[in-house]
Amino acid sequence: MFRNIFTKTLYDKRWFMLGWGLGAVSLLALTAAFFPSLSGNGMDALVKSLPPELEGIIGDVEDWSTYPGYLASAVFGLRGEMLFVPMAILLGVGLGMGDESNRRLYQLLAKPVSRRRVVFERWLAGLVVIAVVTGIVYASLVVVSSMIGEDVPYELLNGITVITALFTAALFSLTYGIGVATGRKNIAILVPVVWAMGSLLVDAFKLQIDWLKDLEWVSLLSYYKTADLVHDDINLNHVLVLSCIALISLIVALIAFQNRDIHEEA
Amino acid sequence: MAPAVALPVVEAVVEAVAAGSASNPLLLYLKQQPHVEGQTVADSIAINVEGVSKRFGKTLALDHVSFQVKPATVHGFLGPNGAGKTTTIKLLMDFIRPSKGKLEILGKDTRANSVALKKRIGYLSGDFELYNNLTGSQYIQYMSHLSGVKNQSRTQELVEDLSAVMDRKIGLLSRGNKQKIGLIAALMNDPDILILDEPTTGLDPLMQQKFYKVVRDHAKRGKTVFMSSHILSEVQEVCDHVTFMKKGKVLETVEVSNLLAKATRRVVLTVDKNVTMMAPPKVLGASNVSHTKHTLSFDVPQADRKVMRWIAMQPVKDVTINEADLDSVFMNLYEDEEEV
Repeated sequence: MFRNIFTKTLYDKRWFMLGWGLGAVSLLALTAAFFPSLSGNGMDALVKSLPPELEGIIGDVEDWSTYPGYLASAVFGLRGEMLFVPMAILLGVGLGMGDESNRRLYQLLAKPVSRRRVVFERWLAGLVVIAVVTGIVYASLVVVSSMIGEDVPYELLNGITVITALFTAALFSLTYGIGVATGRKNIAILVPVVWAMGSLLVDAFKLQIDWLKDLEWVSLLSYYKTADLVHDDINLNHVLVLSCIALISLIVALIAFQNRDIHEEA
Repeated sequence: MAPAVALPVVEAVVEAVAAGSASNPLLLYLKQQPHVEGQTVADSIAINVEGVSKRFGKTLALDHVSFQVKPATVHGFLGPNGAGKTTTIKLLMDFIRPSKGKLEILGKDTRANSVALKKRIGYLSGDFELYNNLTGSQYIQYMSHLSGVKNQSRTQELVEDLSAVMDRKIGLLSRGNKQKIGLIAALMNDPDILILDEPTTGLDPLMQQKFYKVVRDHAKRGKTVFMSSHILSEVQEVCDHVTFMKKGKVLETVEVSNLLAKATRRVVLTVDKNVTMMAPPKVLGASNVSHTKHTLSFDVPQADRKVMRWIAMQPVKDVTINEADLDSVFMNLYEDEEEV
């Protein structure tokens, strides 16, 4: 279990994986389980009563009338962001700054391990954590779909899981990269939180405020459009952007950490 | 396996990104330096610090610090709080980087050869933090894998010698027991250079004595120990040489035995009569003369025949001559610096 930094980090994060996995099941799978109660005349009436401007905040409610659309919009579109954004930031801060801020990094770097190895293996472990949590969500949705008598939309679910994992990995990598590169916990938290909140605002109000549409490319959430997957395949441009965010964050972290002093308090 | 396979690929990408041209300084820095395999401990200098300065923002923490540590010695690094001892050690361990100057261990630059050198270095700090969620055994297992230590016989020896508690979570252990585990981790690879930063902080006297024994035993095996402290008795107990630091500068590097030999002796005479008018003659080289009603105290460079003859001529009821210790040397040294 403790053969290297990667496995040791996974061991440290075992409760994190379990906790967020169960939290994701509670939030996402249970929301999915409510579909039979929401579908039908009640949902149709609700959809017709809502103004179109609300689409930016709650997604396209037309989709809620079908199970795949409901999964893509109501389950992942709204609640997925609520879950995976804080998870990504917490994971990034924990792995990026945890040992440095509590003085444990000295013992690690006193051993014959390169700084790049420390950064890379922890980042890799973070990706595995994200994969495990999204995997748990995937499995729970398969079970829930069967339980409520709905066909499991595997193609949609596969696409949503992949894009969710990529989105979370991008935000995690950004948080992690900033923390590792700067050694400052406050900056590592501030930048992704501001970007995430700003993205939420852009997404929520772009239909009402014209100039916000021009800023859509800045919104991280514009690359996490699960609702689009109901009718389209995964947008490869989105995959590319999210992957680039993750990789560039890692590369910057590797270079910056190699050259800076270890701080005692971040 | 995955990290071991993927890391070289990522490193190649990093180097490609960092490269602009062959003369790109970042690329040159990222190139691997030769290993130090095959280097013997019988180098003339174990640790070389040359003209090192370190600035933190506007604060100059170290100012042209230079000293050398000979191999197979125990070298103390002494100074008050804030002198720059920990900063110097962090520079040697490549935790932080110098603003100026050169640091070498076993003849190799500490930054360029950081990973290779650490195969031969053991490190322990007095205020270190371990992984509280691991047991002692798990922690040592982890450190063994990172250090590439395959033969556990030395580790077992240390566990037994120190009576370390290995089966409880580290977070539940006392300070002394945590320190034992830290010491085992520092010594498990039988390092040629042991670097200790105020290692006995917070330890009880019994544990301190155990610690000194381990350090002395390690040095007897031909290894080098570099130990910082602000406790004079600790340096006196275990060190062969000592470098004095103050306010980021080196004051002096001396052999402890020479230092003690040069240290003054404190003579305290208890006499029958009122001693207020009594004073040792100038020829004895006495200093710091003080009186109470019936005692006369003074310092002399040595308690030699001249001093003893003069004492014998006085109406002495009792005489005490205190052994030289580093306390007086230390105070004299630092007071001299204050005067300057």
